[in-house]
Amino acid sequence: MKSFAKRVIESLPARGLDYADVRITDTQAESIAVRNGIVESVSSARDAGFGLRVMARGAWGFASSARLEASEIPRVVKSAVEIARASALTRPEAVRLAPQKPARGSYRTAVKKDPFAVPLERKISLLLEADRLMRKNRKIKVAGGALWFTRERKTFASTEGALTAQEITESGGEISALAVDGREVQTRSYPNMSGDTRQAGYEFIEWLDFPGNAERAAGEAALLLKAPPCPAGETTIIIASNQLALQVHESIGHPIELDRVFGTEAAYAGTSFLTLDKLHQLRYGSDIVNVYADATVPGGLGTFGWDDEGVPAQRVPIIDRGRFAGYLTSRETASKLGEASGGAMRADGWNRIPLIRMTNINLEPGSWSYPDLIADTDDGILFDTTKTWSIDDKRLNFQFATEIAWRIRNGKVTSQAYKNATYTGMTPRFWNSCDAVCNMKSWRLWGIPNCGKGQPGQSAHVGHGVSPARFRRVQVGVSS
Amino acid sequence: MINKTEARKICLKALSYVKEGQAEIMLDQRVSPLTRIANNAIHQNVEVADVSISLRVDIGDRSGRATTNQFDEGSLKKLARQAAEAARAIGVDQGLPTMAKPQRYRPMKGYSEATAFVEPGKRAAMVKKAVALARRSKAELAGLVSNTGNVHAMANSRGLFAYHRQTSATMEITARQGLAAGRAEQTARSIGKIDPAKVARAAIAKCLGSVKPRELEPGTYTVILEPEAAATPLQFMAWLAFGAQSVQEGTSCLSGKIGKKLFGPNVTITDDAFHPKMNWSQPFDYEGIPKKKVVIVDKGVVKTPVYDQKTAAKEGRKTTGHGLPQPNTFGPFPINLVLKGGKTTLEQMIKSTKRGVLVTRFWYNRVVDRKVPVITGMTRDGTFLIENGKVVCGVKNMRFNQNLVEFFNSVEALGPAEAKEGMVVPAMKVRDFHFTGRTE
Repeated sequence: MKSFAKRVIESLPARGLDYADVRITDTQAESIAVRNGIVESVSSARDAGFGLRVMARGAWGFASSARLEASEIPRVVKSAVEIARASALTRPEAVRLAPQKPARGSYRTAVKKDPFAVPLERKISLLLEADRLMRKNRKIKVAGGALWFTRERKTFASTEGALTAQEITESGGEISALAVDGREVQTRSYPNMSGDTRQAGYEFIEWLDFPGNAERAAGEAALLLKAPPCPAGETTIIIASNQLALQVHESIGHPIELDRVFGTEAAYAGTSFLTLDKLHQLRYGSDIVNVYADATVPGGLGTFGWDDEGVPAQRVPIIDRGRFAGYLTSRETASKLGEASGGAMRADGWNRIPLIRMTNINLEPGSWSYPDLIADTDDGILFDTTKTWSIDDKRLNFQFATEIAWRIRNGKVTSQAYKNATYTGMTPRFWNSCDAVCNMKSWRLWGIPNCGKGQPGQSAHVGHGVSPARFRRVQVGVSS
Repeated sequence: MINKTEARKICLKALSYVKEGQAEIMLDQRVSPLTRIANNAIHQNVEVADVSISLRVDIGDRSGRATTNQFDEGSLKKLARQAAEAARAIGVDQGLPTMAKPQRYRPMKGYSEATAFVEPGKRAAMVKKAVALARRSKAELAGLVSNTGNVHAMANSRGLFAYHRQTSATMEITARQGLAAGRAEQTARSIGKIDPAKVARAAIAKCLGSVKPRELEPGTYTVILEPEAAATPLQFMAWLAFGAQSVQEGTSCLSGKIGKKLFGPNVTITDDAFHPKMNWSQPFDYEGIPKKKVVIVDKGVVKTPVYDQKTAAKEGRKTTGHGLPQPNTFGPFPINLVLKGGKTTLEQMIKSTKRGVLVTRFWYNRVVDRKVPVITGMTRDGTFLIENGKVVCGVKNMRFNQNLVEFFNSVEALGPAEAKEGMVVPAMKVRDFHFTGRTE
């Protein structure tokens, strides 16, 4: 791969280009899905190719090919340069890149058990066992589970002399039980809706322990059939880490993307309420809210050696004691702030250009033990496991729903479950209502492998480390 | 694009490496260069092209699948080996539908060579025309121009071969000025039919009409949904309710309602890949079965969901040609929905409304309750207050939570249907729409 990358760079025209980089990726994937005792799919996939990004006359062009052959290089080079020149037709000012020392080296996920070496039969039987245990409950109409594994090998080279090689391995899975009873349909998933994914090997799947959680998930789905809806009103809420990860993703991770602030996603993913005047000024959250974009934390889906511009992984402050402290940046956007890139440019494979994407956007652990937090809460609702999420295009007004909610009364989580549990709010007001964040003991890194952005569409793999947290005076129980 | 003869050759070659069981191959080629605009400039311009093949191998009643975008002999051999290994690893029978025999397909047009391959300079020129109009109005444009060429072919070891190619071109524009935004888009089979000035003018007019938007109290309103907004409730019905698997499992609002009235009498919904206004469709499904026109709801009465081979066999009936690649967990899916339109123009709908909200489109729509069903989302890119038959001002974006069965029982008027979001949908006037929140 490295020699091919060098060859692409050497094939570029000697004059007329401001900058160029090439990425070669070769991705293998495997997935298994079971449903009601039947193996519904076992599949593998390979996707390989190279993408060339060039800057000419201060504008970008990009072309790509799945044919990793020397004969294909001239066509891709010609196409990328033509596209850059066409882009320059409406470019009022030339793109500038923040300076970057050329990256050199390699990065590899630490894997204890290679997921691609674990026999398919073993993976299938794990899912079938969990499926069987869920279907022991008569109210379960559909039980299911899935496992997925990917390995991406990626080489990056640039006209500035960067040359890096990375190998990233991810493992993930889920189980879910769907209970149906006349007019009511309710689901419980484990460990979250759409599961969890980590940069790790099969050891992560074993740690998740699907069979050990199957009967509880099924029991809770059945319980929800008879549960009352979440009551409407303003109340204290505690959000479990699986849902809080998504809250961080939607109401912090996306609005801090600097390309959104500059309007380049205005027609699709949206803009951001975090205009430049709010940097270091906005009281984003309460004093105990501290957030970092950390591409260095082991196991995160947003962890790497270098981003897709060759910028090394970093830990960037986003919210510092409640105050908005920084954006996710690229070399192009950082240069507009007079800063160095924060290393957040990531592409979904060989035929997509890198965009500003989340790395691991982590809420720093607080001081509360989880039992102490529950004991300190007289009256409230515990929201557990993501169900649905919706947020406006500036990332202010949100409404989230969890699969289940539990009444907290007199310092205890009661057996009173609520179905169709929703809460809603406005982003800064919500984070300013946070009065407790749990400590490292209940902090967990969650993986989201399907964050959508960009046109043509790109799916990013991002991480969120969080522990449960408490919020006061939140509107719950929104209904039609 | 790969022609029929080449596609057949590739498919048969891939099948030739399968040494055991029955096999099915799917070939997909997609060429979709795209020019993206923001702040009145092209900021992203990409050439995107890929070809992939996906091989299903059934050994007895067990099926494995492998996919690749590499076509050398070694990769094709590996593909066959991986798919067979996957099938052999399955220890329990799957209840697989039989692979289809050779079929006859109704011819379908929709391919334009000139649209499959467009010079980047042509897309840039379209952008330039739109941007010139925006500068005159002191608005900033964001959006895209793209053209797509697609080939989908499939073959199996029973002798079936199916091939279809199609093109599409799109221009999407969001005009912005301060807090105001307005959107317009046009999609056509041929890029020559896209009118960049018309799209830009519509987006700019909407934007300028919503400068200094007013805050509206959440509550129940009559809404007039432009076709792009009207597509949202229909899409959710497709995902949640119109496939036979969800009906059979009791998770669809159609369960137990076949033959009964569920929606208002002015609601007729079909799935029709051959509808003349459909701008993305193919004559066969992912099982190689010819697509049939299916009347799902006729004047408010539920007629039938759509079927694939597996769900059809459960009820002893024939598939309607709505299968996804088999085997799968989702079941059949209606890809080409048509909501029958009416004759009321958008202007007439506005004129007949004492107080209401005009919505350009919805955004970030999600399910709140799957069975009822209830969905939530936000308005975006052009939301206006109507008073006494006139659009009086823009309003800040609103959040809705809406029961869709109630929605389809509250339709007061329908406009002429047009192609939107891969479907054919009219503008709609609907009473008692639930806005539950608002944003800045």
